[in-house]
Amino acid sequence: MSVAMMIACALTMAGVTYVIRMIPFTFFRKKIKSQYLQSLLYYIPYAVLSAMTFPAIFFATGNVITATVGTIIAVVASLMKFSLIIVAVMSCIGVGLAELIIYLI
Amino acid sequence: MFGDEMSYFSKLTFKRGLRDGIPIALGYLSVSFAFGVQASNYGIPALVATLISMTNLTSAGQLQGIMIIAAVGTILEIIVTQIVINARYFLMSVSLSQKLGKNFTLPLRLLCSAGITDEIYAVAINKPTELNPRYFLGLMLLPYVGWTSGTVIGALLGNVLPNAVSSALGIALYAMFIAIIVPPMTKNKGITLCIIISVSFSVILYFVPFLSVLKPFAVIISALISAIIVAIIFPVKLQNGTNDAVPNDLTTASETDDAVPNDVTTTSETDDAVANNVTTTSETDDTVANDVTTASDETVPQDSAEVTEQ
Repeated sequence: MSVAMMIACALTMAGVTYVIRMIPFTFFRKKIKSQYLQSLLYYIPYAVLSAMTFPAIFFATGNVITATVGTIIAVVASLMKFSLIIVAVMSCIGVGLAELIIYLI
Repeated sequence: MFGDEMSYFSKLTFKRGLRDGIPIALGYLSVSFAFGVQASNYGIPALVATLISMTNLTSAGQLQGIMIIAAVGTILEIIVTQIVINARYFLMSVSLSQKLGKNFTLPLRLLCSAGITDEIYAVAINKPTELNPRYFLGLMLLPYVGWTSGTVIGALLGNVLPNAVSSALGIALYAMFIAIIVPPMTKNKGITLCIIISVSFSVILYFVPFLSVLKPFAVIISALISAIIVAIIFPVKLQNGTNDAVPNDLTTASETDDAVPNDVTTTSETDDAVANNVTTTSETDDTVANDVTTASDETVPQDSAEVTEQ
C-alpha cells in the first residue's frame, strides 16, 4: 500500500472515530435507556478484542510454537491478576526464550 | 449548583486535570509503544504510525486499522470495522454529555470529544459534579502526549530492533488484550460465553475456505453475533448494587460514586479514592473495565426509577 493510501486510511479511521465520539458529546441530552442496547454495548469490547486476538495471536511472532507459548503465558499471567504491562512483558520474554530454545535445538 | 458543588467544581482546575492524567499517560506509553512496534512490523512508516496515533487515540481500533492496512484492505472495510470497534465510545460520550454545563461551548465540545478514551472517560465520569472544561483539557493533555510519544518511539525502534526481538514484541499487544478479556471470565458468565462465541466465529471465518470472502469483516461479524446473542441471554442488570454481571472492582467504583456526592467537603479524600481507582483501572483493565464502569454509572440513582419501570 502506498504511503498516500495509508494516510487516507489513517484519516478515515480518525474521521469515523471522531464522529462517533463527537455527536453525543455535542448534541445529545437524553440518556440511552434501553437495557438491551446498554448490554450490547457492554459486551462489544470483549467480543471485539477476543475476535481480534484469536486466531491472529498464533501468527503474531512468525512461529506458531513460540506464539502458542506466549499465549499460554499471557493467559496464565492474566489469571494470576498481573497488570496489563506485566502480562505483556512476561509473554514477550516467554516468546524470546522459546525462540532461543528452538534456535539452539 | 449549590455551595459545596460550586466549590468542588472550581477545584477542577487545569492543573488538577494534568495531575489526574499522569497515571493514564504512563499506561499509554507502553501500549502505544507496542502499537508503534507493531506498525513498523507491518511495514508502516513511523510518520504514518504517529499520524494514526495522533488522530485516533484508540488502542484496539488502531490495531485493527493497521491490520487492514497491512492486508491492503479497502476504505469501506476501514469505515465499517472502525464503527463497530469504536461503537462503545458512543455510549461513553452520551453518558459524559450529561455532565456538561453551559461553559462547555460548542468549540470546546468539538475539541474535547476527541479525547474520550476509555481511561479519560473513567476519570471524568467519576467526578461528582459537572465537568469544568479546563479540567477536561488538562486531563486530556498528558495522555495525548504519552500516546503520541510512545508510538513514535515504538515505530522508530521497531525498525532498528533485530528480528528476533521485534517478533517477540509482536505478541505484546495481543497479550495486553488477553489481560483485559481473561480476568473477567472467572466471575462473569456472560463475558465468558461472549468470548467463546466470538472466538469460535473468528476461527471458523479464518479457516473455512468458502467463507474467505468474509475475512475482512471477520472481527465485526464475530463480535456482533456474540454480543447480540449474549446481550439477550445475560443482559447487564441496571439495578444499583445487585449486578451479577459486574466484577468486584467495578462495584467498588460505584460505591465510590455514591459516596462522593453526599460529602463533597471531603474532596481530597474522595479524589484520592478516585485516583486510586483510576490507577488500578489503567494498570489492570485497559479498555474493558472502564466500559464496565460505564455500566455501573448507568445504575446511579436517578436512572433506577426509569429502569424499574421497564
